Amino acid sequence: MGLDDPAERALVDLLDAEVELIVVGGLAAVLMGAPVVTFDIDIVHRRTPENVDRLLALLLRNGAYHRLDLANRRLPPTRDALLGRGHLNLAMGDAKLDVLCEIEERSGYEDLVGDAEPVPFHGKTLLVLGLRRLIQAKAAAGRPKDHMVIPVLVATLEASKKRH
Amino acid sequence: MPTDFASSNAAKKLRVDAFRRNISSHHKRILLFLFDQPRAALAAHRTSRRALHTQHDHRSSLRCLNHGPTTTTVSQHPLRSAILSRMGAPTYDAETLAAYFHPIRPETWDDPIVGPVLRRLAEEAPEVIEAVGDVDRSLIFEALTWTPEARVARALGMAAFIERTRESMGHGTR
Repeated sequence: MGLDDPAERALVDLLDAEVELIVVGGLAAVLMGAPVVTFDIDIVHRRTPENVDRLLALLLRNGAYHRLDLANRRLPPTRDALLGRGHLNLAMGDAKLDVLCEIEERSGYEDLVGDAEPVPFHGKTLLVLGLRRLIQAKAAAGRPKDHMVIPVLVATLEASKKRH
Repeated sequence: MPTDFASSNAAKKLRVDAFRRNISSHHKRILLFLFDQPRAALAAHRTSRRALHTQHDHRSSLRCLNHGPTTTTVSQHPLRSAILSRMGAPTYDAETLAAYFHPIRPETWDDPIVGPVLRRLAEEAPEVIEAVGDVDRSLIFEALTWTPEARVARALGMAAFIERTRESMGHGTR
């Protein structure tokens, strides 16, 4: 499929723009080897002014907008929101991109980077939240949809350890 | 659940036998689910959780869930064969099955990050812990041989297929 997929293209665009980010959520599980399906990209970005400017420029250049808007006004993301603490559920082209300032209880980029693993991706290096921290995050979230994926994550963690 | 099984003589016999044997609330929960009684199943589920909290400390809970010698677990209960027959039983020998389907490894319980999470789940959501034994590891072993790009392409490709199917069925996009 290569870069025909809009979500994969979006991820490569983020890397090309040198946005400092950590992939979390379902795509992180996929990258770590979990056989799960994911519909969107979840990232936690570093909230320094420079990094937010790089991210915002890319988002605006690609026409990103808030996809959760009942009035469907296609509102673009703002610098203030990206510097904040919330979740921005965006659409960028046909890709669904969730830009998360923090996950769990106030865990931002700096809190997560120690548990992130470098993964080679299209000639660049992607930081991906490791399986241990993913399991911790899913359990902390506590929703049924999070609990559902934990068994696969635990099995993947065990299989990865066995492989190494 | 289809009503043919729930109303069958075999099902009635199972239900009567089960309650006569005074089986645990956890087993009752599964039976009630089989018999299309979700509300009662939920109540039994809550009862079984309370029982798990009060009857076992952390370690005995883990033994029960992971190693199973202290109490009768679902996997040991004769009703499991009835449940499995509803799901379709695998055709492989025990050794093969154990390589691909097994409970959480003892060393994972000792993991400094994951261990405490698992122990909490064993108390609060034991079904999550039990479900680890049902994960088909062959899918994971295969995925681990792929490059990260291939893993992403497969997952997103499957998601795109699901979305296309949803659209073709008139459910719109997610």
